[in-house]
Parts: sequence; C-alpha cells; structure tokens
Amino acid sequence: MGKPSDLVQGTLDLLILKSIALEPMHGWGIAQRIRLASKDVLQVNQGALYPALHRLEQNGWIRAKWGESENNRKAKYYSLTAAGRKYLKEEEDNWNRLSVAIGLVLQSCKGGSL
Amino acid sequence: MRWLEKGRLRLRSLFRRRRVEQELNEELRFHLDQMVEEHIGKGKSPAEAHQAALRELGGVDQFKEECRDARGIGFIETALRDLRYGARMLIKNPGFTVVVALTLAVGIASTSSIFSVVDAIMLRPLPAKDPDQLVWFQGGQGYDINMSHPDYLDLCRQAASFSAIVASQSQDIRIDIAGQTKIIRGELVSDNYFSALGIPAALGRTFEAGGDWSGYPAPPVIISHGLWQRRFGRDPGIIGKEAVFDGRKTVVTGVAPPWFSRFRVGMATELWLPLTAWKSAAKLRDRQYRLRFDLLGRLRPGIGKEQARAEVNAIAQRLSNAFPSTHKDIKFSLQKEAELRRTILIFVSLMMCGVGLVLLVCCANISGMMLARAEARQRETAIRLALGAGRRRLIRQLLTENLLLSAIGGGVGLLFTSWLIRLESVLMPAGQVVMRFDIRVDARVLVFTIAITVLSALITGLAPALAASRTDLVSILKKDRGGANDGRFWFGARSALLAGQVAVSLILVVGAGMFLKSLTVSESIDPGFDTKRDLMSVAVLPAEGGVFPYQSFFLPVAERIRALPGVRNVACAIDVGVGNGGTLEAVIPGVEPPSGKRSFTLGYNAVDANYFRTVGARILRGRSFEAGDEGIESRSVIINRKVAAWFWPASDPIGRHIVVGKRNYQVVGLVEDARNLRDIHNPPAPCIYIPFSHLSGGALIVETAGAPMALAGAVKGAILSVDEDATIVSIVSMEERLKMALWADRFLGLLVGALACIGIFLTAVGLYGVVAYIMQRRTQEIGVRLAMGAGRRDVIRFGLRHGLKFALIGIPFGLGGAAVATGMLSHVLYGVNALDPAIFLEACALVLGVTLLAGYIPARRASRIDPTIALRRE
Repeated sequence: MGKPSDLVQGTLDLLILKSIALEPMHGWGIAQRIRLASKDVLQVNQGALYPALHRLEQNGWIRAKWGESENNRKAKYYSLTAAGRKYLKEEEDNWNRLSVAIGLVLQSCKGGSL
Repeated sequence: MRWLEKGRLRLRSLFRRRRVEQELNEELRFHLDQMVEEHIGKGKSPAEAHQAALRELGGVDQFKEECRDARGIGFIETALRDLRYGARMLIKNPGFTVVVALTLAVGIASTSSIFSVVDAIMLRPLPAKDPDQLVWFQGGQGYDINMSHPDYLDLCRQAASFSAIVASQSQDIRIDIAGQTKIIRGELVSDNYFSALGIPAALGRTFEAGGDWSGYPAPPVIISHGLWQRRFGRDPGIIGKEAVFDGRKTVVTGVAPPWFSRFRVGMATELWLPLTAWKSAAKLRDRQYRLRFDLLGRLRPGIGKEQARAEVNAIAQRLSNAFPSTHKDIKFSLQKEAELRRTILIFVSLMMCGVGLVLLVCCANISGMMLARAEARQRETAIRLALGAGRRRLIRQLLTENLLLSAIGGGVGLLFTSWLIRLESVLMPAGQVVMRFDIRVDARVLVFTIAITVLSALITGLAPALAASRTDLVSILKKDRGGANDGRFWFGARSALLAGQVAVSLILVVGAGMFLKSLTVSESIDPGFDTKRDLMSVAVLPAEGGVFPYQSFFLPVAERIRALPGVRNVACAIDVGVGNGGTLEAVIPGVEPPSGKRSFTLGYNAVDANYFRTVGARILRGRSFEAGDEGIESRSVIINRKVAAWFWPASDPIGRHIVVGKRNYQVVGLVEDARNLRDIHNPPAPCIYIPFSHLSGGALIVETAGAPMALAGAVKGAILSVDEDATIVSIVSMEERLKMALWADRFLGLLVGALACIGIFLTAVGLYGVVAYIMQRRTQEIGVRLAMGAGRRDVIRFGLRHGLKFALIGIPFGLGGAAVATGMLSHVLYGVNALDPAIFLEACALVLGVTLLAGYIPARRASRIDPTIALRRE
C-alpha cells in the first residue's frame, strides 16, 4: 500500500457525504467504504474523520443515530439530511467542473511552451 | 429547520457536555474494536491486535479536541473556563480582590444613587394615566389659585378643551400618634381626582365622581401607603374602619398605591379627603368663600395648550363680569408637568458630573493596582505566551477576570446604593414639610448599574491586558532584574494614572470649596427680618370671603393667639418679607414710568401694625404702622429702600404719594429691604407695605418664646375657635423655611464635599501604593546609599520627590479642569467668584499636602531599612 494521500477538508466532506448517500453508516464503515472504493488509495485517518463527521453534523448536513452494528455492538450511524443531499449534489457538480478544467489546462500545456 | 437543529446541537454540546464526550468515547471505542477485529482477521493474536490497533489510533486527545472545536461552542466553553480560572485567581489573592471590589463598589454606589435621583425626578413616567395631557393652571401668583367652589364647578362645566379638571387644596391635618399630636400633610380634592388622573387604589376604592356621600357614616378618606404602614401597621382590615383626623371622625375607604404620594413632585401627601365631604355644603355654595386650589386639567386629545388657555381665560373673564365685587381678574396660564421637571435637570446633572469624576478616580486606582499585578505576573504570562497561547486569548482571559471582579464590585455597589438611598431621604430637610421623592432602585437603575460596572471593567482592564500581552518573553524568562530602568513601561503607565487622579481630586476639592463658600455666603444673607427670633408663619384662609376679613377674623384670631401662654407677639401679613412675590401696578406722581407702560410694577405686602415689631425689621426713617393706620380708610404706606432709591433717590421719601388703583397712599415710613423666601438668592425687589385690612386673606406671624412649633396645636385651636370652617393651609416655623430656602445649597455643598473627600482619599491610597512600590524596587539602591553614609532624611526626601513629581504634573491639569468646571457652575454658585484665587490656592495646598503625606509614610518606612538586609536582597 502506498502512502495515503492527504485530503483537503472540503474534499473529505464530499467523500463522506457520498459514502452515506445510499445507506447510513458508522464512522469506521465510512472509512472502509472510501478505502475500498478508491482501491486503497485514500485511507482516511480517524484523526481527520471524526472531527469532519462532527463538523458535518454541526452544519446540519448529516444526522447521527445510535444503532447496532453487524456484530451487535453499539455504534453511531450517520445519514444524510435533505440539506446534506442538496449540498452533496452541489459539491459533486463543483468537483466535476474543477477536474475537467484542470484536465484541460494540463493537456493544453503538454507542448511545453505557451 | 437547519437552524433549529444546529441550535439544538449547540445547546446539547453546551449543557450535556459530559454526555457528548461520553458518546464520542463510545464511538471511538467502537472504532477501536473494529480495528482490533481487522487485525485479528489478519492473523494476529488478540493481545497483539489490541496493541497494533492502539498504535494505529494514535493520540486520541488531539482529535478529541478538534471534535470539540468542530462542535462550534468553543467560545462559550473558553469563556466558562476563563471565568473559573479568574475566580480561582481572585480567591488566591483575597487582599487584592477585596480592595479592588470595595473601591469599585464605592464608585459605583455613588454613581448609581445619584442616578436613582435622576430617575425619580426625570425619567420615571408621572404617576398618572397619559401624563402628557395634563397641564397645571397658574394664576398670577404661581400655582395657587384663589377660587371658590362654584367658580371651580363653572370652570369644569364650561371648559370644553378639558375632559376633566381636578382641584386640590393642601391642608395640614392633626393626627394622634401614640398620644402625640402630629401634623401631616393632607389634600382636599375634587371628587374626580383619582379617576381623572387614573390612579387606582391599592386597597379599597377611590372616590367616585359625583360626590354622593350620603351612604357614608362619616366623611370618607383615602390614606397614603406610607401612613397605612406607619400609623395603621398595614392593617388589612383597614377599609371601613373609623379614624380620627383633625378631631373629626372619618372612615377609611381606600389606601393609595405606594408609588403615589402627591402629583406635584416633592411634597408628600398622607391623606386625601373629598372637598365636598369635608367642608360644609353651605360654605361650598358661597361664591365669596374662596379656597386656594391647585388646578390640574386633562386636555382633550387634539387640543393644544394655547387653545385651552384662551378658552379658560375667556371663562375667567365671564366670571369676573358676572361677579364684579368679589372676582378680580384671574388670568391663567398653563404649563405642562413635563416642563416643570426640566428645571431640576441642571441641578441633577451637576451631581452626575461630580460622581462621574469620583468613579473615574476609582477606576484609575484600580487600573494602577491591575498594572502592578500584571507586572508581578509577568513570568506567568511569559510562560503562557511561550507555550502558544494567542495574544487575543490572553487578553480575553484577563478581561474576563476583570469582569468578574467588576461584577463583585458592582454587586456590593448595588447594596451600598440601596443604603445610600435611605440615607439621602434622611438628608432631605426634616420637619413638617417633607420633600420626598420616591427614590428607589428600580429596573432602570439596575440596568444603569450593570452598564457602568461593565464599562469600568473595560476601562480598568483593557490597558493592563493589552500591556501584559506584549510582554517581552526573553528578558522576563531570563529573570533580568535590573535597577531603575526595569519595568519602565509599567511605571510610566501608573504614573500617568496617578497624575490624572491628582488632577481630578483637585477639581473635586475646588468644587467643594466653591459650594461650601456659596453656602456660607447664602447663610449670611439677611432676609430682612430678625432670624434669631422664634417665629412661626401660619397661612390661613378665613371662612368669610367678604371684604373685611380683618375685623371679623384676623383681629379676634390674633387676640386669641396673643393670649396663649408662650406667645410674645402676633402680626398679620400676606407673608414674611416681601409677601409671596405678587405684584401690583402703581403710579408715582412726578415720576415718569418707563416707556410703553403706564405704571410701575411693584412688589407688595399687606401688614398690620404689629408686623415690623414682630419680625424685627428695621424702620430706617419715619414710623411703623400704628393703630390709626390699620383701618380701611387709612392711606398710609411704608416703602422699602429699593423703592425709595428708585423714585426719590435724592430727597426724603416720607410724605410722598403712591397711587394704587383708586387709592392715593402717603409714605409714612422707610424699612430695610427684605427678600422673598421662595427665591432667597435673588436680590430684594422694590416693595411697598400697605395696611393689612386693604386686602383679604393672608397669614399670621407668631413670635414665641421658645420653640414655636410646640404651640402649633394651640394656635390651630385658637383659629378654629373663632371660625371652625377656617382652612389652615400650613404652619411652619421661620427657621424651617430658611432651611428650606437654602436646601439646595446645603445639599450640593455636602455632596461635593463628600465626593472630594472620597476622591482625595483614593488618590492618597494610590499614591501610597506607587511610592511604596518604588521604594521596594529600589531597595538595593537605597541600601547602597545608606551604607555609603546617606542619612535617613535623604532617603525620605528621595521618596517624597517622587510623590511630589506626580503632584506637580497633576496639579496644573487639575487647575485647568477646575477653572472650566467652575465656569460652568457659575450660575449655580452664589456670591462666589468662579475663579476665586483663594479657593484655588487652598485646594492646591490641600492636595499637595495630602500627596506629600501619602508619599512620606512609605518613604519613612524605607528609610528605616537596615542597610545590610537591603544589600543582601536581590
């Protein structure tokens, strides 16, 4: 496994929101989902994860509820709120636009000279 | 909805912190367990897996902190933490805390208590419904209007501009308290008094308009809340009980609310009687029977003051035409209650300025102490800064500590305020006529106190906090204790504060000196009669309003009073001195009146033959009135010096003529000028004295041997024995009236004097602290000097020099400020030059002396140091 890349805060928010878009999940599970989905490239450290989760909860984009995990342990499950869903869509669109733009710049500068 | 959720979360984070923290722990525990499972799945043993997981998890506390930050209530949490820390620091230094809190309490208490007076006079809404609609009626001679009851009823009926007009007449009432006869203030009021003013009864009922008293066994009376407490012990069954007032049976039908004493600011009324129930109906129907009313009207909405005035004067004119023999021209002017209060504003603003200055001195003192303490805590501050505390955080923490201290000071100050308020009412002149404002700590005063508490916290704390945060870390940590140049910044700041305090103290002392001198000069004003005599003035209105009340009323009454044991002399006059300020128009044959006018306006008094003898006024030329001058056909007049100087400056005024109305008087005597007791600061006006019988109504002046008020009851009895329907408006001793006249001067003098004492005391304390501090810092240096042969006196001089330095810097500023202040006060001061050099010099001397003394004590103590100990100290 390579060194996990550092994730900017806003991007981490996006990933977290996306990973619970379909189904609520607890903190550990979110980290796992992101790791698996990114094919082990993005490994979220719990030192970044939990503060982010609390912040997102504070902003009203996700909601927390205590429930039972697969192995019958008590865990805190997070789910998207309506506002969170809207925010996710916006951020996704922003990200896509951004990545397209960066891609264009990289391609056009391939020749070297400007 | 988002806001609601967010708010709820924030509150939860704040109040259920432990629960929230616990939840986070559980969440992390779960995470840890999952990690352990994963490691076990990879083939490690449970113990190894656990260890590996812990290692992976790393330092939990740091991101716990981040979580806490993410929860967004950091501000409140830090504030709470600051408070707790601040409280701990304050408890650790009890001496400092107590001194600062007390100093602040004194400053805040004096400011708040003066503000409560402002509040009572100016800010509190008048105790009536819609007070803006209310206007006072003013007659030719002030607020007393001589009017009969039928006239009043006519006025009420015909004046369409008013929805109601209430009338009240003051009356001194005798009551028995524990076997002693006391005189309290009562009011005879029209039936609509309470209903028109919108004042409810606290207990029982108020009077009904219409005045049908047939259902009552005795006249109904409403007593004041204070009387209910003092005389009737807050008896809840008072309604319907009988009580004896003025020797007559009454039945108590209501208790007034505690905030209502009398509508006119100042005098306190203890009971209200309906006019129609107290006076006989026959008398009240008589248009000749005049009463002295206060009239208050409620304007109809939309009606202006001028419009009402025109209408009312038209009505007065109609009455005068209808009843020419008894009705002189009554002219009314109207004044809104609100305008009255504005005149007291100047007086009170002065007081506010004075206490404001004291508060500043308190703050300066406290600031100095804070600076000293901040300097002592430099090491602690430096370490905290080195460990990464932000500057802003540090300042916030210091300010929180300050706020806590101020809160304590403010709380104690509020306590002091309520005591001071009680003291204030004691300082008001005692006696029959009690000036009582309803001063108390209400919501506005409370808000004001809190506001100045916070303000003083900021003033005292900001500078030291800012300075503290700029501490130079390196030199502090290196424990660099130099000689004289160390901590120069701190010292400079404290010095500046101290110089300021000296300046402010000087201003206060000059002010006090001015007021005290003004008081002294005022007290030596010659009112125009012998103040050493025991005199008493009794204001009455006879029942018979006829043309000669003198023969049928005043003469026999004077006889009866003169017969009382203890009475030396009785005289009849409108009032002592120059009457009550009324004027008349006179034509002086041979002297041209000023252009545009046809006559001269002169003050007057109507007196009998006994008058000048009774009051001890000096006849300068000619003679006083004699028995032959008292009759209605007499044409003798006595003038005062002002009149003589005005009209006949070069020649003998005796024998000259003055024409008033249809009467041609001849001057028979010249008397010394006298002053109007209601306005004693004004120089005497020109005044003539006409025979008492020429006017109706007036007062009796009684000279007694010994305390005059002891005979008040007997005098009243004598009057009523001649005419039991006579109205006794007031019985006051002349001593009391003089005291009343000078009340404002006395109060201001006392107040500014007290403030000056506080200011100087605080400055002295501050100076003492600073000089002691200097001495302590330079202990080594002093030791060296002593060892090298310097005398103790040199050390003392060294210390004194520092004290003197502050004084010398502060005094010029103080003088400047004092000059400005007294310039503004010049119209309140009497008989004192605003730049009186003697007072300024004396004030300087006082302040200088105090500062030298304050510096001397620590200097002397320092000079007693054993040189060897001083040298050994680091």
